Formats: sequence, C-alpha cells, structure tokens
Amino acid sequence: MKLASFWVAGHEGFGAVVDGGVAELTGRLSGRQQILRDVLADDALAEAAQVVDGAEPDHALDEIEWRLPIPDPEKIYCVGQNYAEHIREMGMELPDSPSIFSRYPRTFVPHLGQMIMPSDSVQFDYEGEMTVVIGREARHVSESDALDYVAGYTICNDGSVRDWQRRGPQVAPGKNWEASGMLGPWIATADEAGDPANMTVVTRVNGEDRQHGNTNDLVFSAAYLVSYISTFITLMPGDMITTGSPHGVAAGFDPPKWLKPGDRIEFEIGGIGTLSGEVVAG
Amino acid sequence: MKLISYRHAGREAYGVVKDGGIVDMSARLDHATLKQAIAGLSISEMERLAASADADVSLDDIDYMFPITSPEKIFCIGRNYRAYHEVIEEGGPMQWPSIFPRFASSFAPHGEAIHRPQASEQLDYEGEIGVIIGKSGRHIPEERALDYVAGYTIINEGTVRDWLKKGAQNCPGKNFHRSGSIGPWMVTRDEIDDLDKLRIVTTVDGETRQDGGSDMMIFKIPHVISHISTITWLEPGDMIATGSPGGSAIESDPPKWLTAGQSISVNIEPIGTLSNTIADEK
Repeated sequence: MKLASFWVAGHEGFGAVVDGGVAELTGRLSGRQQILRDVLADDALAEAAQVVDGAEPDHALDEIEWRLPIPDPEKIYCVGQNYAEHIREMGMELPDSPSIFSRYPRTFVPHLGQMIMPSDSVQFDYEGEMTVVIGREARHVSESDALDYVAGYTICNDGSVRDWQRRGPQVAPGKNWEASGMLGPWIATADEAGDPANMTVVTRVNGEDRQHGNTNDLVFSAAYLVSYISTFITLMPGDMITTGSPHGVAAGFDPPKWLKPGDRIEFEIGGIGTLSGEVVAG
Repeated sequence: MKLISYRHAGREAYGVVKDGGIVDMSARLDHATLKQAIAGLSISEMERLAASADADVSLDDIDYMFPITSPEKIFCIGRNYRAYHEVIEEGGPMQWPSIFPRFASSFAPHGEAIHRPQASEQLDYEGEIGVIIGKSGRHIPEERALDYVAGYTIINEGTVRDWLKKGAQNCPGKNFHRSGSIGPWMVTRDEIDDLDKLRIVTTVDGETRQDGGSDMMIFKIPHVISHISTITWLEPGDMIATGSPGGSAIESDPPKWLTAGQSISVNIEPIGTLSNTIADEK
C-alpha cells in the first residue's frame, strides 16, 4: 500500500494510491482518523489495507496537491556519510558510529513541489535518500527487532547548502534551509517496499543520471539506525530517519554541478517510487 | 510580566504569574495556547487583564509545562561564552556560531525529573538564557532583531558528553530524552533592560557550579537571531538557547556528572529559577 497525505477540494486528507488516483481514507476508518500519523499511532494499517483493497480512486492524481507524507512529524533525523563505496572513494575510513543530525519539517517541500534556491549561496546540492517512517513508539529496541517498529519507507532529498554546512562545527545551518529539500511522494508500507537493505537509489537532474547506489551499501542499515537512535530518544509514530546518500552529489563534480532555478530533479528508489520537483529562484 | 503554561485540574492552561499565583488567561482570551496568544499580539492585552484581576490558582497547585508547550523549532548555540570556549577546546576566535537543533522531547518542564540515561554516566548541565520569538521573521537585520523577541526563559541545555563525540555531529548527545529542562516561565522582553548584564548561576545540591555573565557571550542575541533568520523563517514560539558559561560538570577533575537524587537549579534574574531533580531513566 502507498499512503499519501494531500489537499483536495479545499480539505486536507490522506489515502492510498490506487490505479491512476487516490482512494481517500480520511475519516473512513473505524477510528475516524483525520491524519495519516494517527493511523500509524493507532496501529490501523491493516484496517486501512482492507478498506482500500479493490477500491476505486476517489480523486485523480492530478486533482490532489501533495503534502509531506506525514505533514507534521515530531522528529526527522538524518544520517551523513553512510554509503561505504562513497566513503572509501573519498579516502576516508568507515566510521564507528553514524553521523546524525536533524532537520525541521519546513525545510522540505512535497512531491511536485518547488525548492527555493537559497538567497545567500550558490552551493545548492541534492542528496537522494531512502527514508524510514516509524510506525510504533520505539525506545531501546534491538537491531533484530527494529524493523517491527517501521511502518514503511519514503524518499528524501536531504537538500544541502554546502558552504553553510561548514559555517560552524555543526552541519545544521546548511541542512535546515527553508524549502531546501523534499519528502514524498508517499509511504510505501513495509510489505510493499521490500527489503530496505536492497533498494536502488537513483537521482536525475534535468534527465541526467547523477546518483546511482543501492542501500545494500549502507554502513549503518535502517534496522541499525532505528535501534541506535532509540537508545537516546523515544521514536514516535510518523518520525522519520533518512539514511544517507550515495556518491554523485553536485559538490563531487569538477566543477560542481550546483542546482539552479529551473532545474527539474527526480529521485527514484526501487520498491518505493519516484519523487520529483523543481528549483525556483528565492 | 511573567507568562506561564501549566496544567491544573486536568486541563492545560496559560496565564500571567502574579502574587505567587496565576491569573488564568486561557479562560479570558480566545487563544488556545500561549504561543497563539503571543502570535496574536495579545501580550499587552494580557498585561491589562492581569492588572485588575486576582490570581485564579496558586503556583503550588499546578504542574509546570514548557512556557511554549510545542515550539516548532528550538535552535541551540554551542561554545558561545569566552571562558567556556577556552576550557572546552582551545582554538582561535570563531567566525560562525555553532548552531544545532534540539527536539522538545529532549527537555523536561520545571519541577519534573531530568533523566540520567541508561546509556551513559556523563550527564552534564548547561544553564542558558532562552530567547522566545514573538513574531514571524526572515532575513531580520541585527539592529531590528530584538523587535522579534517576545521574551526570555531559562534553559538547562543538558548534555550527554560521551555521546557528543559519537559520530561527526553532536546531535545524539544533545537529544537524549528529557536530558535538559526549560522553564519555569517566560518574562516579556520589557523586563530586561540590558541583555549584557544577565547573570547565570547554576547550583547542584546547593553548590554553585556555574556563575557567569552574559557579557561573555561571543555571538550576541541580536546577531544570533539575524543569522538563523538567514536560513529559515523564525516563528512565534520558536526558541533559541544562547549558550552556557563555564562550570559544567566536564570541567571538574574528576568530572562532577549529575547523579540520581540530585537537585539542580539555574537562576537568571529577573527571569527566575529553573529547578529539577535528577532521576535514573527507568
């Protein structure tokens, strides 16, 4: 099942993507949930799957305005430097612990959204990433149990302003620029998405292949990251962990292929789908 | 004027602190939360209403909440006091502030236990002035930055020291569940005449550990507001923890880590005193 949040006909809703459209679930489950996050929190994914099984679409895809799959997540954690081949390419040792930082939701735009070129930098970069969506409250969970706490997977562009990442010892300023990244288009539930340790990750800018990786190359797997982060904080339904990006970012080219207004960008992850957007002037 | 958010008789409320009690503003205004009241430019209205009213409830009978119960963003500034910077890490003057986000669940309210985590013995404290934003702003010039401030609170920016060094970013060590605290209330900005003359005193079981003046700040509050607003919109209720003077547990030899059963207070006049106990995480 692919679960999405959207605006349609002046109201906010959520539902499942079915052939050519969305079957709306807003208020249609026994818990009358109005937002997708509550479906996760109420452990109602199985009921949602029954309701949409064989359902006709209520709205065509071009009638909806996509929102972030969870529009208002409590926490979004990101992982840097997590693809082994890319780390070795740069002549670095594999890390002992993951590099973790956080982003606020407003730093992302949804599927088919417009990222805003930063006003104070030209070093605007993309990072296509497989993203874990937490389904159940998780604290001190083991790596072997961790995927039981995952509702599904989505796609993130952990869009980065490279020079601002180096202003100060923490990367947060370069990773929290307004509308600089993307999340979506939907959450592919765990049963549909397949093995999170074997998903292809492809990024294209204006049709040109830029990133090409597979999550089988992650130094710290999705399961490890859920377990690790749950050591320090309680992960809540709808929280997201984005797992890092393979080589091929703009900064890695000589000269760098920074994003600029008018660029169209696509992130395709096997088992999940394709997240698309464009860059507009600030 | 002191503004507070609290729970009383099973209900969440906010009001004005007066004569050891609270004049309940949530019963007098249409805004559901203090954040909304601030965003709705109702600070002067609250002042007027409180002047002619008696307290509705005693401070002894409430559970404290964060002054802003659900801030969209909390940004922290690291290594922002001269003496502290010299002790923790030798190096030249910094060109850029160290900025990192924290999620609200990494803090406890006034009067509740701060958790010493299972995963580490190195729980430390950092008493700090907390800025609370009063109106939306982006690209705010330094000379007008204080116009965007609603008031100030106290933040114990509790830190798990060994987890700061796991991975390339400090996020895990700064985001342990309930490892810091915020409160007990906010004072409106007119209560503070000179931001350079605040004194931060942190005591543990009555022993003074931190005693520093805000004149030692490297990046002053207007600069920090302006800098962060380059990256993202600041919104009413957003908070900025502005850094801590010397005297944290790590600076003692051996380090005086916090342990279960201790009481910790951070006093900043004229804001007040933020007090918590330490309890082992269950």
